Order: sequence, then C-alpha cells, then structure tokens
Amino acid sequence: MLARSCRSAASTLQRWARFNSTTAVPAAASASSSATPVAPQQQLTEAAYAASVVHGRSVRAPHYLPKTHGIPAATLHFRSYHPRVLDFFVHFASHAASALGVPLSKPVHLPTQRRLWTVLRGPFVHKKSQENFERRTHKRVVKAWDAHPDVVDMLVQYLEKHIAPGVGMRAVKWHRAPVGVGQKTMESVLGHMRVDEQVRAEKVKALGEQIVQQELAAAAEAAAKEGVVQKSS
Amino acid sequence: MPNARVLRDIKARHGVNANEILRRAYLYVARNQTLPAQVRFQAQLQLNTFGRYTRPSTVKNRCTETGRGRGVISEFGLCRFQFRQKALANELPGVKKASW
Repeated sequence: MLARSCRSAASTLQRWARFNSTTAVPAAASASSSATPVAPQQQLTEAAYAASVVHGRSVRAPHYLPKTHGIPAATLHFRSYHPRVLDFFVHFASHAASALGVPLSKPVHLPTQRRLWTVLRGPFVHKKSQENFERRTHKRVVKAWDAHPDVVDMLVQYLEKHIAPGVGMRAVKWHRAPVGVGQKTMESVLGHMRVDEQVRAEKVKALGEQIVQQELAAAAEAAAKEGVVQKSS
Repeated sequence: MPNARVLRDIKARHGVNANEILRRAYLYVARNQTLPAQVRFQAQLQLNTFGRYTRPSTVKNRCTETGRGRGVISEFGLCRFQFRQKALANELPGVKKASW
C-alpha cells in the first residue's frame, strides 16, 4: 500500500543504504526495515504507527486517522500541470495532517482538464502540416474532518509555506458561527453601504406625517374657532 | 524598436483609455429613446468628431514577440509560430506535444 510516487523513492533509499553500509548485516536490516509496518494500520493510533517504523516514515504511505464525528472542517484542492509533483505534494500534505492529528480523506482524482492547440508548423502557408500541443491540468481533492478550526488554519498555513513549485492549492474551510450571525453581518454591511435612497424615503415619509399632523391641528383649530364664532353669533 | 502597427495599437489603447467615459456618456445620450431627437442628434455628431485612436474597435491583440496581428493565441499573447517555437523549447509551462 505504498504511495505510487514514493515506491521508486523507497527502492532508491534501500539501494543507497545497502551501497553505503559497511557492516555485514545490511541486507537483513534493510529487508526488515523495508517490510511494511505491522498491519492493520487503520486500528493503530498515529503514535503507535510512527513507533513501529524506524526510518523513512515520510517515504511510506501516510497514516489516515479515522473520523471522530464526521463534521467537515475543510476541503483542499490541488492543481498542477505535472502529476508526479502533485502526487508527491498531496502525499506530503497527508503526512502533515496526520502529524497534526487532523483526520483526512484519501486523495481523490478529479477529472483532468486538457487544453489543445493545433498550430501550423511553418511561419508562412503550408496549412496541411500542423502540430498539436496540449496542456493537462491534473487535480486532486482531499477532505479534512473534525479538527479544530485553528488546527486546520495551521495545517493550511504550513502547506502554503512549504508548497511545491508548480502546484496550486485552494482551501475551503468551514467553521461554527454563533446564532444571529446572519443578522449581524447584514447590519455591518448596511453600515458601510450608501443608504441614501432608504434614508430619503424615510425622511419624506416622516415629513409627510408631520405635515398631515400640522394640517389636522390647523383644521381642528379652524373648526373650534368656527364653532366659537357660530356660538357667539 | 517595435513594429509600426504595434505602435499604432499602443496609441489606440492609450486613446481608448483616456476617452472611454466620455464616449460612453455620448453614446448613452445618442441611443436613449426617451430623450428628444435634437439632443440625440447633437450627441451623435459629437461622437463622430472623435478620432480613430479613441475607438475600442481599433484595439487588436498582437503577438508580443513579433507584432503579428493574425493567428494570435490570447492565453500566451503569442502568434502561432512563436508559440510553437517556445513550446518546443519548453519555455511555456505545462505545454507539451500532444499525442493520443
């Protein structure tokens, strides 16, 4: 169950160890260290798995921690034109997450996008001889579960700091928000917006009501005066 | 020293950038159905006085290496032959000869 991109790296390491060793027991040692650690990996904790491997843990397949509650924390997207670099970095990311205690899903391969250009070979005429060029964008997705948002932020920052050249990463994070967050966001947004239209309408309405009341008061006074006049007359 | 046509294109881009708001305002007035015909006509006459280096249709994407006006691939800003030269020299990231 070695990661595909690190199979050759593991064999290279073994050969290098055997080549450089001077003792008479290198073959046995390398053979024992090359054997995959005690299965089953799923039931071991990260610490126990790490303890079972003496050298070259980062070269082996990462230990995927089991989900504790099934609450999504983040989705990490990786894109690159070079699939081997991409797989290597995703392998590195899985190890990093395992070390931080973040349960991560296995990497999923999204469909590869292919951009094709057909171009005339010569600078002038000769339409019948053309050449095809393409650019393939490989994509991988990995989901993080259950971890504290600060830990997820740490993981993302660490990966951004040590990103492999040629790989692009995008992180979509989820976090818990307190009740009433929508209303607060709306209020803060309205505070920044130009609300001239609303303010004007309200002002007009208030003015209208004021006028109505004034008119009513004036009418009442007039009616009272008339009543007095009529009474007097 | 870039191509004469490239220089003309640069001039057009600067002109369009400087006059875009003015042109749009006149165009709005000239195309507005609710305004009186006299005003619209005047606006259209004003629009006609603008020179060719203020019209957005004068702007053309040219090859950044050779200045060729045709066969330009927008993603790289190169004409088809330059694109092929650079792609074969591995100067374009991720681009390789297609084979399937």
